[in-house]
Amino acid sequence: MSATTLLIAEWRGSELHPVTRDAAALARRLGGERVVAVVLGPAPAAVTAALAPLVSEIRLVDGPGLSLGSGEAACHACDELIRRLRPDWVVIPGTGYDLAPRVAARWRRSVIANCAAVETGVDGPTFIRSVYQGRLLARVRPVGEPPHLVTVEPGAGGAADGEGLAGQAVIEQLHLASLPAETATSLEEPVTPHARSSSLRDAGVVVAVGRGIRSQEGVELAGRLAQLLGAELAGSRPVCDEGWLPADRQIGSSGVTVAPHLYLALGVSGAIQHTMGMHQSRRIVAINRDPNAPIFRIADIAVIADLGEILPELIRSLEQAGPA
Amino acid sequence: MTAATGERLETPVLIVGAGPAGLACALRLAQLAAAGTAGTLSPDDIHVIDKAYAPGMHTLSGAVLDPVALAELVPDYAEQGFPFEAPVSEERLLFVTKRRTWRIPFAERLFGNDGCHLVALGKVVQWLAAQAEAAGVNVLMGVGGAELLIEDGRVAGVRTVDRGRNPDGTPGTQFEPGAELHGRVTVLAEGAYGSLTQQLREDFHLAGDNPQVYALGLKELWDVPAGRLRAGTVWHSLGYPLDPSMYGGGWMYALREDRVSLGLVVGLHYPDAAFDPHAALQRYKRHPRVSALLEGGRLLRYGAKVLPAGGLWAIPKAGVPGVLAVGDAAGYVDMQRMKGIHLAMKTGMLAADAAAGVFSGAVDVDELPSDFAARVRTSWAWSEMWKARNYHQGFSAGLYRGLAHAALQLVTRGRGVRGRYPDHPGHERLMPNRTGTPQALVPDEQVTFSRETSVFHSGTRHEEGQPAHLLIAEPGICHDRCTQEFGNPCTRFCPAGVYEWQEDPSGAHAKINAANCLHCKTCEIMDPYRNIRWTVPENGGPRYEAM
Repeated sequence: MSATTLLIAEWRGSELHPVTRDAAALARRLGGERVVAVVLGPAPAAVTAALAPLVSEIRLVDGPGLSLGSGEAACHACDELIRRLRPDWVVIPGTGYDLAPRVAARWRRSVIANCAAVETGVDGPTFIRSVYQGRLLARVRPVGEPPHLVTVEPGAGGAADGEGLAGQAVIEQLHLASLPAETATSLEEPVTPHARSSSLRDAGVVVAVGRGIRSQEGVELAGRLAQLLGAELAGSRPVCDEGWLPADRQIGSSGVTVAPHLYLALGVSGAIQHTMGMHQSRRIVAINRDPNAPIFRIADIAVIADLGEILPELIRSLEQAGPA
Repeated sequence: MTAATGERLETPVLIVGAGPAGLACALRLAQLAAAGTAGTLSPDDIHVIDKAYAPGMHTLSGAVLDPVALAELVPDYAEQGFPFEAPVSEERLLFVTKRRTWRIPFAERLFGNDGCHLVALGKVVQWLAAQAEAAGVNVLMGVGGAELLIEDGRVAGVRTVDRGRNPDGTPGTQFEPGAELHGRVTVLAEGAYGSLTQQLREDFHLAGDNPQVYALGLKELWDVPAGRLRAGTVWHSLGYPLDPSMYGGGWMYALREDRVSLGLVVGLHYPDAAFDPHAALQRYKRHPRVSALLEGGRLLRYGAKVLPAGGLWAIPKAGVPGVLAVGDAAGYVDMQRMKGIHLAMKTGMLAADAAAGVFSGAVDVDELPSDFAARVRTSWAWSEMWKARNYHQGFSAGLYRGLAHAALQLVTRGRGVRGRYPDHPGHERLMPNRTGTPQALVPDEQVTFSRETSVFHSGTRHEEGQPAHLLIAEPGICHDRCTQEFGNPCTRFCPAGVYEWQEDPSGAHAKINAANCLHCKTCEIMDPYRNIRWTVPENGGPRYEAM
C-alpha cells in the first residue's frame, strides 16, 4: 500500500487560500499517490472545485464545533482523520500557529515547520525550511514513526510548476459526530489594526512640538492650542521617544509625512530628519528660542521667543476670540 | 541563556564579515575547492554572514588601494570589471594651520602609493561579493553574530542575534532566538573592534605585546563642480584642526574630477575629554583650502568607523583552536602607509590557504591557528607590518616628535632606537575635563553640518521597536562620576549623536539614540569607565553604498 498524505486545506471566505496550492504541490511531491485534502467546516463549492484538480481525494468534514474556526476544533477533527486514514504525512498550510502544534502535541511528534521545498531521495524526503526570519535555509529530515507533520510556508512557490494529479478528486462528505461541541477557544472577527495616523496625514493644520516643549505639561498645553485651532497634535522624535506623545504622532523620516495648510512648529529645532516629513507644508510658522535653529530656514514666519511665555498667551487670545 | 534555543545549522566553513578580508578568504577557498586542493570541500560549503543588509553597506574607507593582493586573488581583475575610480596621479602631504598650508617635501615616500588606485571600498566589496557568489559561496546578509559558541576550549561557531524582542528585551510575538551556526573552521573578518573578536580576546586572554589602539575615521563624500582637482589627486594633511598633542590628519581624494572623498582620522587616545571629532571635521572643512574645494558642491554621504592603529606589536600572538582572525579584526593595518585593505585581503587569503589544508587532511584542525600564523609570518604582509611596527607609537608624544620619529623610522627601516615601542589603550589616556567646553560651532548647513544632518547623510536606520543595542552597565556612573570627572565625553566623541545628556526637571540622565548608531565602536574604545557595551542590533545600521 502506498503512503497516504493528509492535506489540511485552508480557505477564507469563498476562496481557497493560495498557500493551499503550495501545500498541495509539496504533498504531491512527497511521493504518495494518495493525497487526501481535508476541508474543515462549511466551505463553499468554489473551494472544492479549486481543490479537485490538485489532490486525489477530498473529505468535506463537518461536525460539532467546526464552524467555530478555532485551532482547537480543527485539532479534534485532524486527530480523528489521522486515526482513520493512518497517513504518513500531514501537510498543513503555514498560515497560523494554532493547528500544527496542537496535533503534534497530541500525537507526540515534532513539526517540520515553514517548509519552502522538499527534495526526494532514496532515503526519503529532505525538507528545506527557512529559519531565522527567512535569512537562512535549513535542511531537515524527519525521524521516528509517522505521521510526520509538515507546515508549508506561504509563497513556497511549489504551485507554479506543479501540474495536478491526473483526473479529478473523489469527493466524500464526512460527518464527525463525535467531535466535542464546545471548545475552550473560538475565533472571533479578525482585528484590523488602527489605520496609522490617517487623521494626522490629512490634517489641514498641524501643531508640532519639539524638545523645546520641555515637559508633558508643555505638550498638554500645546494640545489645548491644537484643539483651539482645530489642528492635529504631532511631535518630533525626541518628544515621542520621551513618551510624551505616542510613536504614531511622530513626524519625519522615521514617522509620518504631512503637508498641511498650516504647520505650527513649537520648539522644534528642525533637524533634517524632521523637516523632510513636513517641508511641503503650505505655511510654516516656527517658534523657537534659538535664533540659529535650522527650522527658521524653512519657516514662513519665524518667532524667536520662549514657549513658556508665548504659548499661554496664544491660548488666551484664541480663547477670547471664541472657538475655531 | 534564554530557555528557547535556536536552530542548529552546520557548515564546514563559517566566515563572519563580508568585507575585503572575509570575501577574499571565501573566494580564495572556493577557488581552492574548485581546483580540488581543499579535499572534499565544495564552494557551497562556505558560508559568509554579515550584519549589513547588503554587501558594502557598512564598509567605509578613504580609499587608496594597493592592488597587490587583488592581483594574486583575481589576476584578470581589470577585465572582470573591478570598480576603479582613478589611479593615484598626484600626491601631496600638507601641513596646515587655521589659515595656511605648506607642502611637506618628499613625504610621499612614507605612503608608497605608486601603482595604487583610488576606490570606493563599498563598491569593491559589492564586486568581491559578486565574485564570491559566482564561485559558489553562500553570502548571507542581514545575519549578525551575537556571540561565539565555545565548546571544550575551542570555537565551534557563532550564535546569531535574537530577533523579535520587545524594546524592554522581553520576547515579542515574532520572537525567534538566534541560530547556532556551527563551523568546523570559523574565520572572524568582522573589521575593526568586531564584537566577536573582542569576545575572543577577552575569553581567551589573547593579547599582543602592545594593547590594540584605534583611530576614528570620519568621512564625507561630495559632488563638487568639475575642474577643482584632477581625478586621482591624493592630499593628506597634518596639523589643523587637531591639536599638536593629537595623532591624526585629514585627507582629500579626487575620485573623479567632480567627486571628492574627504575626511579626518583621529587617534582614539587623545587626552582632551572636551574634544569633539565631528566638530573637528566641520572645522577642517572651514579651512580656506578645503572650503574652496567644496563651495557650491553637495554632500552625498557621511560616515565614521574606527580602524586598528596599533600595528604589528598589537596583533595577538596566540591562537585558539577552531578560529582564525583576519584583516582589521586582527589588526592588520600599516599605519605608515595608512593602508589595510590589501593586508585584509591577503590575511583572508592566507586563512583560506590554511583552512584548505584542514579539509585536504594536510593540517590537523587544532594546528590551524599556528599554521595560519606561520603563513602570515612568511608573507609580504608581515614584512610590511614589520617595517611599520614602531611608526604609530612615535606619535604618542604628539605631532612634532612623531614626525621626527617617522623620519628616524624610515632611516632605520622601522626600528628607531629600540626594538619595540610601547603603547597604551585609548580609554586610559583620557584626562579629566579641565579645559572647559570648546567654542560651539554653528553649522551653515552648506559646507558644515550639525550632527543630526550628518547622521541623516549616513542613511543609518534601525527598525523601531527593537531593544537598544548600546548597553550602559552602570547608569549611576554617568552622573555620579562622569559628569564631574570628564563632563560626559560620550556626547562629544560619538560622531553620530547617539549619546545625549539631558537635564530636565526630573534630573540629569543620559539619553541613548541607538537608532543613530553608525556601528563605528568609538564609544566602547573611548569610554573612560568602560561602561558602554556595543552589541549587534537585530537589524539596521548605516547605508553607505559607495563609501
